[in-house]
Amino acid sequence: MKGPSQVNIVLAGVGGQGVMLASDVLGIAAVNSGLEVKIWNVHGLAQREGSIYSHIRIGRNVFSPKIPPRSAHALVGYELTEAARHLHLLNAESGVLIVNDHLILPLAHFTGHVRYPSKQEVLARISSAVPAEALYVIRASELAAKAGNPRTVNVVMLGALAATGLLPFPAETLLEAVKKRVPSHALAENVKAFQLGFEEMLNTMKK
Amino acid sequence: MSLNLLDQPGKTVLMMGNEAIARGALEAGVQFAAAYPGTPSSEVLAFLSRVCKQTGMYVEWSTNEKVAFEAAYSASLAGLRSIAVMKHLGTHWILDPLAVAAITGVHGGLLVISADDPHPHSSQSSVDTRFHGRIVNIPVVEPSDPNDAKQLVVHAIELSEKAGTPVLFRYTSTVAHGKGPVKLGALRRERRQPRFPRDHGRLVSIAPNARRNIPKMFERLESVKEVISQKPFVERFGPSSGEWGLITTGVPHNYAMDVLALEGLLGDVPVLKLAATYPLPEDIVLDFLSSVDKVLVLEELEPFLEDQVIKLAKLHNLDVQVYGKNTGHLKRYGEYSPEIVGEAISKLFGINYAATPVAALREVSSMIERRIPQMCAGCPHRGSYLAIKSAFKKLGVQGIVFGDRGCYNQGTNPPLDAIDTCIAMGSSIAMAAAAKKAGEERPVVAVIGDSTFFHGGLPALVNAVVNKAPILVAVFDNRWTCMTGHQPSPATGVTATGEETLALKPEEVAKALNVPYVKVVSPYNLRAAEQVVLEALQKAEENGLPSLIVFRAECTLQVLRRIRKKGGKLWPAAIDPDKCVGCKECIMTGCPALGFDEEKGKAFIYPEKCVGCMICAQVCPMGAIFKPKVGE
Repeated sequence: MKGPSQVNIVLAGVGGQGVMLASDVLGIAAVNSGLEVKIWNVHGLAQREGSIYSHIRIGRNVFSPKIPPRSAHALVGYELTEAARHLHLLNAESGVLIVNDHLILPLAHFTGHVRYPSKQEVLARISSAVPAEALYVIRASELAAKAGNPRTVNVVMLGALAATGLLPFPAETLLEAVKKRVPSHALAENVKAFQLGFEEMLNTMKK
Repeated sequence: MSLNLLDQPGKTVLMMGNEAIARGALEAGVQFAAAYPGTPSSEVLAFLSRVCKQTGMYVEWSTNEKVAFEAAYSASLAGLRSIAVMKHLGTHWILDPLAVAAITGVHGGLLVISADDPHPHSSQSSVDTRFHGRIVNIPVVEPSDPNDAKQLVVHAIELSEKAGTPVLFRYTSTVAHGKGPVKLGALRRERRQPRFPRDHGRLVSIAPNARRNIPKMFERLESVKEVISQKPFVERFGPSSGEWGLITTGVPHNYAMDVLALEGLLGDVPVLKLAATYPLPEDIVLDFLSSVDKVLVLEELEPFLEDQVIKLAKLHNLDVQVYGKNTGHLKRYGEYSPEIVGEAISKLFGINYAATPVAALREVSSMIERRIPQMCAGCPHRGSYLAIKSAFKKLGVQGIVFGDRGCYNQGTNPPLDAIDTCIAMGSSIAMAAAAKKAGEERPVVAVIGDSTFFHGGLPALVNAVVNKAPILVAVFDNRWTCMTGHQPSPATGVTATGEETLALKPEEVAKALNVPYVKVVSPYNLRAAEQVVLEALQKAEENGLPSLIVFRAECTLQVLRRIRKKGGKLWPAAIDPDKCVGCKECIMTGCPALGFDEEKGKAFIYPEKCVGCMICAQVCPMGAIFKPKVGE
């Protein structure tokens, strides 16, 4: 990667976790900051328990919306196996992996048609490939519940991402974009979720 | 989102490709838009339907793509600027009338907007529809990103109207669903009065007239070359000459630019970007070919542009090496990415593209198996499939289930594993009938959704009746075209703009076609539904004619949306752990609201996912699944 003129972010999760909304929020924040942004969303079977992901590229001289392997400055995993699935995109030397400490097993695992790893297994695999200083495991699902709505996981993770300081705009800009994008009746819980994610990440980084 | 569509000129906003295409139609003064939904194209018309009342555009979801194209073609002949929007599979359906439209020519600018799916993410094939343009001899235009798409819609409409030819506007998944900055132009409010021409010599395209008009089609094709040799159809980047260069079109152009930027070569390599790939702007391409020793052609799917470049170089005896798919440096299938393009450039021109993944990371990534999609929790199709499966079980024979295109094709996934085929729109009924006519003795079922039934199933049902095929046609009527995002189907009762209209009933159609056994059942009552399946199969054999069952229940997602809007609450089911014996019968219904605790050996229900449809409760042999009293 040549200089900090661009920031590449991958969001990855399972349908229903709000990945597309989070992607919109980053796009809005970038545009409101006068930055160029390109986004690639794959959400074909989002409502049917499929994988879902979004590539967000912010900055100058960004042409295509797809992030090449080893080029993501931040990989935000809403679920452990989905984070693992996109690990090859992470620039493990200078990037960070922020992952929700949460595993969603597909139904086909229970029926024996596929074999998914346990939480410990997948965490071990991730830890073996990503340097400890680049790996941040966040209890986002717990924090979302604490914020008052389990569906705010996506915003908890955005709060955590904002705390890394990797984004080319202040955390407040991202929070403003959250407020603009979430339904008005869910405003308070989303603001809370953002703050909880932000604080959790700051605390984790201090350790 | 509809705000962006009518936003002020001069502003730059973030738009999805499909939204940008819709905006382009508004800036081009399009007055008539018709489409059939299909991923990745569906959002174009959805966006337009939200603003058409304000802009005076006519917008419709048509019964199928052929109808959509013929509608737009008719409006164009009457003088209106028109678009027909579809995914590549639909573009296959329109070749017959499109070929005639190419011969008759058009009046108002007419675009066929065709979304290809190279991966494919959500299609049964990945044919490169640019060839359709070449087969029927109309210009082909292709954008590389949302901004490009927006401005090219405007220019392609102008081109179409000026030359009097339909134009094929082909784009791909990455443009359709990608987002990028789009610079808004002025909205153009056309108020043309439609006036259908009386021009028998052209529009009655019988053979003698066609023979006379075919040469004019080639004249029109020739006439566009001047315009497509200019901006924005042609763009040049980098120096005027070099040892090697790139000819690009569509999304791969931006992958190439990313690779050059990453390698610090931006501005150092000659790049010719073409947005019109048929016919070729020959002078421009010749000029470029003369300025380099080696050239790599970058485009998704077939070597459509590459073959034309090779031909041109050969005809003019140019001393230039053309690389790409013909030389084995790139593939003729699959969606491209920066790394695919980067590898080809590296290999050919001796640069060292840096973005190769670390093996350890790739190893972890590749360990995670694909998430097999399931029908949603509470989906009515689950009950319909279970009824058919249990009827087969009762009969002691595994029947054949011909599937069709829609959400219900996920019935193929384990654990349901309920269909034997999934081919093209409407194929289920035709193939099922043929199986019986060919002598198949086992029960034969055709499964088809409401939208697909009206799209492509109708002629096949007529065929099955007239040719006396003893099959069971099972219409999974959930009132919407769901797979593509809940557009209205003919069974819905609303139009694209939300106006009320007749809701057509497949059972009435079947009765009118003299299908002797027609029943409507709820897929949520498994036992009753199974009985009807058994009866329908028996009657089909007795009558020597098709039976038709409509499994009717509205799509759960639509029902949930309405409940949530009203602030209503769901009533999820639960499993009594004392009664559960861990037999997994419930899990085998394939409902994602169910899970299994391996340690305890018991099934459980995720309360946040369960909608309380109680299908699993009906298969539980222990009666362990129940609805807890509120507060329990």
